[in-house]
This record gives sequence, C-alpha cells and structure tokens, in this order.
Amino acid sequence: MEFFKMAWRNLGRNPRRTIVIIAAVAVGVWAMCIVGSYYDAVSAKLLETVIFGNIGYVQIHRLGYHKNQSLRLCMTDGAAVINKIKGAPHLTGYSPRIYNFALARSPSSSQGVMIMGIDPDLEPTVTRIKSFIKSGSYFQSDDEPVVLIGKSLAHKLRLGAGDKIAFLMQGFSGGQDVVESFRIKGVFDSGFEDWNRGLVYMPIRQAERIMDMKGRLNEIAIMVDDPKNLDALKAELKARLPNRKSDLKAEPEQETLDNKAVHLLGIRSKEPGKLILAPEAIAESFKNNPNSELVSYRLELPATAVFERSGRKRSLELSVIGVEPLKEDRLSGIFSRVKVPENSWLAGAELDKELDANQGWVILGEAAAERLGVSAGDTILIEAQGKSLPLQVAGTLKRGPGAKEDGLFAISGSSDLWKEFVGQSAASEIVVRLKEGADSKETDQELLSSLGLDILDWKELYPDMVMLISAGDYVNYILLFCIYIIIAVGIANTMVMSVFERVREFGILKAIGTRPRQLFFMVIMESVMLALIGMALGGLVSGIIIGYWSRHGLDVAWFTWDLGGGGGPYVIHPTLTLVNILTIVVTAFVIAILSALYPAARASRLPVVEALSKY
Amino acid sequence: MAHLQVQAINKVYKEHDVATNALAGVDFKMEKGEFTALFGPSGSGKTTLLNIIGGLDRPSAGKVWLSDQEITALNDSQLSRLRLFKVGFVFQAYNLIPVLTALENVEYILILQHVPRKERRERSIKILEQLGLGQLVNKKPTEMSGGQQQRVAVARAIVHLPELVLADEPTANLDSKTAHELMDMMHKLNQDQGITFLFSTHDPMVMEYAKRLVELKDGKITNDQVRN
Ligand SMILES: Nc1ncnc2c1ncn2[C@@H]1O[C@H](COP(=O)(O)OP(=O)(O)OP(=O)(O)O)[C@@H](O)[C@H]1O
Ligand SMILES: [Mg+2]
Repeated sequence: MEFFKMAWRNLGRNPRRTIVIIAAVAVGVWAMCIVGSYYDAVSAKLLETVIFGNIGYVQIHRLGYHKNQSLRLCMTDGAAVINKIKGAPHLTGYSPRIYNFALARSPSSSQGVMIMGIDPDLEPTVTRIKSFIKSGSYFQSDDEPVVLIGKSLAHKLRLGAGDKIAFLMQGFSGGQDVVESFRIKGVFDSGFEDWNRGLVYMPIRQAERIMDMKGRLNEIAIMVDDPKNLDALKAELKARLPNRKSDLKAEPEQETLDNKAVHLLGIRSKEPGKLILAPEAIAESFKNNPNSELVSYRLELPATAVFERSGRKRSLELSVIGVEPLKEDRLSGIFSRVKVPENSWLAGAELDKELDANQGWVILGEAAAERLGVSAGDTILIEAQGKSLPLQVAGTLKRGPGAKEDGLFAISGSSDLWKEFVGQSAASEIVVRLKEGADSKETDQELLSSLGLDILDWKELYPDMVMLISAGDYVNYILLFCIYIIIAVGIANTMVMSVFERVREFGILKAIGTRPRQLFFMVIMESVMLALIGMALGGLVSGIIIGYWSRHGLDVAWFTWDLGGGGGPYVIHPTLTLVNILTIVVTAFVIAILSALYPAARASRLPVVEALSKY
Repeated sequence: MAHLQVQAINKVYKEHDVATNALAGVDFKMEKGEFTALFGPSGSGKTTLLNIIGGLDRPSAGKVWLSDQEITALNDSQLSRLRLFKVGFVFQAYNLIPVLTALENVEYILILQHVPRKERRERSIKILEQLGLGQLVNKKPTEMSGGQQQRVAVARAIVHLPELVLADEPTANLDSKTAHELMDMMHKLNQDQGITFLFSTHDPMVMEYAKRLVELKDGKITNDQVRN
C-alpha cells in the first residue's frame, strides 16, 4: 500500500541517519543474541557441572535427610529400595551412596571432609567421576582400603596419590570414634571448588564396614535418559516407592520427674514383641521433629537370670531391659531411684554417667533380687536364646522404666544386650520425650509419617543452583533491558528528528485530505522497517558468530570464578534457540512500535495551518 | 444560493493578550467557473481567508457554504473529507511529497479516494499529459524546476475534479516567464473545463489573468470588480 512505499522511501531521505540507526539496531540485536545464548550456555554448563559432577537428576533419601545430613538418617534396607527402582523407564543409572562427616588427617594438617561411599561400578552410571581423576586412578574394586580426594584437599594436606590419609569419624551406632587409614588411590578435579576441597570418595563396602552401615544407604542418586523425562521418572519412582503405612504405633506414656509430669510417646511395632532393627535411624528422624526433646530406645527381652553361690543355683524368668543410661535418666528418672549399698564404689556417684561409661552392669528389680538372693557386687548370668551374658549387679530398684511394677526385671546397657543376643542394634520401644506443651496426638502422627522416603529432583535439592541460574537470567534480563532501552531511545530520537524535519510535508499531506491515523501509521511503519532491517542484519551476523561458537566452542576459562574457581578448560557451546530468536524479533518489533508512538502521534496531530507556514 | 458563499467571517488571533483581527467581517460570493484573484498588501488576510474557505482553519465567527454544504459546521474528519473530495490546493511552494514521483503525487489524491489502481493511474497520466507534463511522470520533485513543481501541483489539485481550486500565491516563488506559463495553464483549465479558481497574489501581472478582482485590506473587502 501507498504508506508502506512512502515509509520505505522516507528511509532513503537521510541515508546516513538511517544507516546509523540500522547499525545501532543490528548491534543491539547482535548483543542480545550473544548475551542470551551466552548466558544460556553458561547456565547449561553450570548445571551440567553440578548434575554430572555429583548430584544426578533425582535423589532418594530418608525423609528429612536432605535437611539434616546425618549418617543415621538412612534407608535401613537399601537393597530393597534399589530392587524397586531398577528398570524404571527413563532411568539410565543409579548410584547408592553413604555419606559421613569425618576429620581427614595427614602428618602436616587436618581438614573436615564429607566421606562419600560409592559403588565403584555404579557411580559412573550417574556421574563423570572417572573423568575427574587427575593423578593416580579410579577404584578398581570394592575391596581395597583406598580413597579418592579432591585436588584442593590434596594441596591443603600436602598429600598425593599413593600417600596415606587417616579419617576420624563416628559410626552408625555412635560410641567410640572410628579412626582408620586409607591409601589415596587418586586425586580428582570435579570443576567445583567445594567438592575439590571437601569431598572424599571411598568404596562403599569400605564405608559400610568402618561406619557400621551394612545394607544401609543415605542416598541413591539417579540419572535420567533425557531431562525432558525428569518429571515422568520422578512420578514413576514415587509410584514404585509409596510411603507405606508404618508398621509402628505410638502410645502416650506419662512419668513424673522431679515432681513434674513428663509426656512421653512410646513407639513400638504393631506386632507384639517384634523388635525394631536399626532404631538409630528412626530415632534420628524423631529427633528432627520440633516437638521432640529427647529420643531414646529400650530393648526388652524375655530372659532367665541365673545366680550361683556356694554351689546353690537359683534361676528366675524375668524381663531384661536394655537402656541408654544418660537418656533413660531423663525419660523416667530411674537412676535416681536405684538403691546402691553404702560400701559400693558407685555410692554417691552420678549413676547414669558412671553406668553410661561402663559395661557389664545390671540393676535388678527388688523382687527379683530377693528371689535370686543377690546383692550389689554379685555377678549374675542373663540367659536368652541359648546365649548367656555375665553382668555385675550395681543396685536395686523398686519400679522399672515403662512403669514395670512387678519387680521381675533387670536393667542393663542396651548395647551390651543387642550385641550379645540380637547381633545388631535393635529396640523393642523407642521413647520420645515431648517438649512441654506439645500435643502428643498430633506429634505421634507426625513422627510415624516422618519415616518414609523422599524423592527430590535437583531443583528441589539445590534451590541455590536454581537461584544462581536465575540470577544469571536476571543479569541477562538487565543487560537485555539496557540494550532495549538504547535501541528504543535511538529509534525514538531518529523518528522525532525525522518528523520535525518534515512538518511542512505533513501539513501538505493533511491539507490535501490524508487522515491523521494514516500519518500515524506511516511513521510507525518507518520505525518498524528500521528495526526489521537492523534485526535482519544483526541476526545474520549473530547467527554466523554463534554458529561458529556452537561448532567450535567458546573458551570462557576466564569466567570460571563464577563457579568457584574450579579448574579445567571451560568451553561452552552457545546456541540460538528458536525461542531466543522469536523473543528478540518480537521485542525488537514492539520496541520499534513503542519508540515511534510519540513521534507518530506528533506527526498525526500537527495543526495544519501552522505546519503549512513552516518551510 | 451561490456556489461559494462566505458570510460575515471574522478571524481573531490572540497572541500575548494582543488580539489581531485577521479578518473583520468578510462577505463574499463566488459562482461556478469563476477565475478570481484575491489581492491586497501583506498581512491583509488573504491566506487566512483561503484557509477558512478550504476548510483548513476555522473562523472566529461567520459561516461558509460550498455547494450547499455549510463547511463551518463540519467536524475535523468531515473537513478532511471535504478537502479530499471537493477542494484542490496549490500552495506557494514545496507542494509535492518529495519521495513520490510526479505521477505518484497526482495519484496520491485518488489513492486516498480509493479509486481503483488502473483508473487512477490512467487519470493521473492523462492529466499530466494534458498539461504538457508527460516528460515529468517519473521524476521526483527534486529533479524538477520550481515551475514544473507548481504545474504538477496544479495537476494534483484538479485530478479529482474539485468544486473549487484554491491557490495561495502560486507564482510567488517563480520568475515572470514561469509565472506566465503557470497562469496560462490555470487560465486554460478554467476556460476549457470550467474549473473554478480562487487565487491570491501581489503580482499585477497575475491579476491581469483574473476575470474578477477582490481586494482585501485589514481583513475587509475594500474592492470587488469584474474585469472585461
Ligand atoms: N497563526 C497566527 N497567529 C497570529 N497571528 C496571525 C497568524 N496567522 C496570521 N496572523 C496575522 O493575521 C493577519 C493576516 O495574515 P495573513 O497571513 O492571512 O495575511 P496575508 O494577506 O496572507 O499576508 P501575506 O501577503 O504576507 O501572505 C496578519 O496580521 C498576521 O500577522
Ligand atoms: Mg499569505
């Protein structure tokens, strides 16, 4: 139509100005393309570093582990979980892991680290650990007592491949610290400083052994075939790992301690007499509940107590209750009620502390002591399941924990009992002391539902990453915004000048019958054409440059401070997506129109008579 | 009723509390086919009167009718239509749209009138050739002399067969030879096709062409005579 033609020809009237503004738009579009694709590439690279460096796309944990990374918050039957997820569609790899804090020591220095127990064969199905090794080599088997350490840790401890490194840590059941030395099999560089400084890989069998974690896992990291399928895989995993109704039940109990009522919740198996194995894991979950003040467990076993003196042997069926003395004292206060003879070495001592630090003791209910005819200082045998354990009587007690009144009970250290009679840590009851004012009805539901699994993807696991990436996006947006503003101001300025130079012409056009909106349209068209040509040129140049980069890569090693100074050649491959291009085209179009609105309005509203008097 | 009727027109310009009576009670009539010159000293109100008659400006008081239409009662949009369909304009200089050729400038009016492409092209070429401007068809205004531009402007002013052609000092920027050529052309159009012209001028030579002379002084008509 005529106004297109006129707009087009008007561009040719001041070629220098037109070329300048087209160049400005072209440079702007070029900058937008480059900046956009560059940030996309940096974000993708960052994501890749983190996902393929360690975290994978999805992780499975015990509920609460992600917030409180305690060794004890573990999946107690790791194999069962793995069996369920194996073969899920879109799952291309999984890696079972154990994590534990430890102090790493070399002859020259020490450093807190996170030990990561990995399966040497499965870990590479999720991460690129093998390619991170800078010196030495990756694990060859599960059996070697070796570790891989990061290059920054190696530097700090002045150690290298082949050297020995010692770790000090707490195992699953607590108690004594574990100290063990490992040979450094290799030194890695993950490209991420936090890991280079703080992460130590250990074959998972070794980690299980020293941390007492056999069969238990803290984490299963999972790889998806294509990030597009992440949600589908997550849904599949959730379906395969439903949080079943707990086979535990909770019952309120009440004790009076120092004349104050103490509210307790006793958690037991729904099946009477069935033991809870690895209660530490459950206790750890309960500790995380804001209403819980203290968590302890008791192991109650039916047993026979045997006492033999001067050839006379007496035996008695009773319940033997294993407790954790320090905690038990705060639950039921039993140790303050224990009668200890004046002449005993325990007389006047803080009984809970003394007993916690010692093994091989037993406290008998008064009735049981009477029937057996024992007094403090004697040694009795506790027999159960064909085994027997000698324990020395430390004192007597009228009423036991959990309000055992019949007197036919014995109290001992729980670890003595499970080591001898169960073979692994076990409890018949986990007792939670609630904070004052906590609602026991609500809390018991919360406690029981805190025992499931958590299936989280990388975004949920590392919102910081998402933030970092979106912070990059914000920088990107701000830059783009600046470019937009510059282009807009450039176009607006050009159009204003061009309109003011043509006041008389607009007057004539209007005088001979052109409608105001036709003039408005003509000016807008001029602006849009400027933008279109600029965009086409800018897009062409960007396309060529970005095309080159995407094929040959762009080395942005100088930029790696953004990733914490991680190492390695750092090459990104920026690409222009259709979305990028459309966004840029549409915005440039909108900018062209917006920035011409004012000049176009001016042109269309010029008073004719005045305009005609201008030459 | 006369073809053009101007009744008791006043035009007051107010600038910094000083009011100028550009037109002070103008009564004026014109019939179809007139070839009338408006003359008077600078500042006498010629341009103001032509602008009001052409619907470019509004009077402070008074009424104007053009072929039975009271144009002083029209709104902006209607005035725009009136100028497009019923009036032809020739201004003192720089009449043409610089980016369009002579042909396109003439055609422009017909485009605004939505005349079909083929017809408007034929009509425009025909007018230009009729006026002896055939060799200018594809020339841009910058490639033409001032006289050629003014003649193309006249072609544009008459291509749509308006009721009235208004020309405000059409020869003011021309030398006397070209001025003669332009006036000859306008005169011929008036003679042959009966197109009604109202033009303003200072130039006695131009006044010679007029069939009727109207003199304006201080915004009033002081003399109105038909020449033989
Ligand atoms: N926009 C305006 N604002 C104020 N005064 C104006 C305006 N236009 C015209 N005038 C005044 O109105 C009067 C008539 O002006 P006009 O332009 O109509 O005269 P003219 O006869 O066309 O003069 P010229 O021969 O110089 O073109 C003059 O006094 C002029 O100063
Ligand atoms: Mg004038």
